[in-house]
Amino acid sequence: MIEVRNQDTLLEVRGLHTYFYTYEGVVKAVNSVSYRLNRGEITGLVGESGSGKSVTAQSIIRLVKAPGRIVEGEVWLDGQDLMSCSEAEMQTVRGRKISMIFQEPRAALNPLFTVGDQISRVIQLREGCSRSVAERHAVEMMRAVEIADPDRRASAYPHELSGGMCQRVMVAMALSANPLLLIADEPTTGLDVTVQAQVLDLIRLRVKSAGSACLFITHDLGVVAELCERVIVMYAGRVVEQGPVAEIFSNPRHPYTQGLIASTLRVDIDKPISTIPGTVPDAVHLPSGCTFHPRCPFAEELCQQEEPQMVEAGRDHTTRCHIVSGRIEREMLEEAWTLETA
Amino acid sequence: MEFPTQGPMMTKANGEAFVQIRNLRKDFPIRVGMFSHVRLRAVDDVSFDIPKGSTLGLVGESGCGKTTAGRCLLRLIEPTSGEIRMGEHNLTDLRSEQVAQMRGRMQMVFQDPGGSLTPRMTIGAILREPLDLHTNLNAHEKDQRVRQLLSQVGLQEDHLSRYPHQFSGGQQQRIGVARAIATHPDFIVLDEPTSALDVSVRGQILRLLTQLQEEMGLTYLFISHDLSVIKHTCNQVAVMYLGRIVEIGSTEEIFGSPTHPYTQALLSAVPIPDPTQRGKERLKLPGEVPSPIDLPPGCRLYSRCPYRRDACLEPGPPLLQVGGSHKAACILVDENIHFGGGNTAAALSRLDQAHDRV
Repeated sequence: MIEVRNQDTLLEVRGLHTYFYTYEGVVKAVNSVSYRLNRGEITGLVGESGSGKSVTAQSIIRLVKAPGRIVEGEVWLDGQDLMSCSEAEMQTVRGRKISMIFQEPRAALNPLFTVGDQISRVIQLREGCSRSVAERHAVEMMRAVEIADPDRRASAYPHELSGGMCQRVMVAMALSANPLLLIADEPTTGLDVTVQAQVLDLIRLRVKSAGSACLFITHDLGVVAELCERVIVMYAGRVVEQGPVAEIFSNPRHPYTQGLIASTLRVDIDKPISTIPGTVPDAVHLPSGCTFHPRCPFAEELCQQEEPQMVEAGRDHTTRCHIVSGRIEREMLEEAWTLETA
Repeated sequence: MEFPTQGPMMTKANGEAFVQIRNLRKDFPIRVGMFSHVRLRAVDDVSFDIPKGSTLGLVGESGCGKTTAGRCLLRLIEPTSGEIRMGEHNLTDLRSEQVAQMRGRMQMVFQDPGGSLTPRMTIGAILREPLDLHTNLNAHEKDQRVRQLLSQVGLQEDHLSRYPHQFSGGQQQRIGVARAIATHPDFIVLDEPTSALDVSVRGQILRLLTQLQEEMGLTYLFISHDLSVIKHTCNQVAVMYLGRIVEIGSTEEIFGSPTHPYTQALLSAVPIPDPTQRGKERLKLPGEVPSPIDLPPGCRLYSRCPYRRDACLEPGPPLLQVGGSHKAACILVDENIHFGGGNTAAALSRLDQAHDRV
């Protein structure tokens, strides 16, 4: 395991399974997921609601809520096996080695403390320094994330700040621990585009300058194209395709990735509105074989019967599809996604 | 189908303004302290026309007043002043009972598909309700109409006895659309109808809306913060910032040659799903939208605009003609300077040159 580790690899997830044992049945939210994150790189994790992207992140920091449970899998962070850590050891991993930015900054911040207090507490915990030193450091962090007038804003409560400002505070808090790994779960969903651009710039700058790795969870392919070096595409709990950003966008091999790219509307070019037919499957009763087959325009009998394995689709590019692996001989035509014009 | 006030609405010729908004204004009093109030002008002097059968997109960031404007149009909230005309009717003159009678002709589709459907009513009951309120159909005819609606929006008949939570977000929005078209309306306000939906489902709803518009000759006001959705669904676009329309024109004009600095910044901030486009030069606005309370009379973008000058602080600016139906509320339009595609440095140097000449 450790021998095969690439020097640049910071996080390696292997065969991760996280299931939710619900009243209706077992939900395989994360099903045999494996990937690596490299230092200094931002990796985008894309998928629609219910694809398991957030649960993957929660599994890494071992904060899956009941009835969810990590059933199987290994998570290695910088040579440390997180799955065999004690809860006390995990406490030091969270916050010091891994920080997380959540989608709703207001819900993630404590409404009863000023934002300066909340940032300085993180610094105090990490550095073991005095409160006054931590407070000074907190103001510096707020300045670093481009909060205007940080001295005054440090004594503001979350409700006194706008959504974009709260998200900057979250970024400041997450980065003040100088983490090896930053996990950002839809950090710009709900922010206005002009503010989103600012927050993305900030994350990019801080990750690059600190040489840490970032797992950026989003449903917006535009954000991935602008920010990330690598992409992981998830569908119904499984990774269906992963590879370098340029490769995935110019040569997507999995039909789901193709459909996702085709149905993303763009402001810069005119094209007809494409859609993927059908809806995301019910998590308890997943389709047999390839979980995407009921919505796939290229599906054949084999796709219903047998689940495809992950295969090479290019340099550093893997996907899970019978057509790519050559089990089914068929051409995937781009026209399949542009059935009608708007 | 009979309506209480049958006008010559349906015979209107295409191209003529069907919905006309003039100087619409909406103030909200905000309490500060025990007894005093300040004024929040959510919608400020908004005017536009929507021709029959076409779509106007109202775009802007959160708090710009686009939803408030949409609700004022239907008189779901009372405008402070201004005029709203729909076909032959001046909605602002009508008493609230008369507006209630008009509701069958003007409908709304809401952003949160789950939250806008009553959880304890079956789909059948939800779709029958507007028919009970606005038509004189008998029970059998209503039943038929409900079934017809289901097939129009792509749902099956066995869905009738189910409850909203048994549907996916996309299906719930289809139900929302079916409810809106139940009474054969002329005008529908679509308030972020696809924002809560996944990418793959969003296209299905947009297509459904376009198809229904063609079949039923519907006129839409499409409210969204998502420029890519607006671009693909609207004939005309109005860009709002802090309660005012800062730019209005045809979709080609707005996306092809955005003129107001705010529109340029908004467009250049949208991430492009193509890694080869990375690193293109952008017009970035510093800071965030300021508080809309007690705003100064000048240009609303002043605090964030890279091209600002002292003249921008004077009251106004009005919407100035750029070309065709294209108008922008920026004094620089008058100086006849066209900023090229969001290229800040180049535009600024052109601006400086122009200024030196003056």
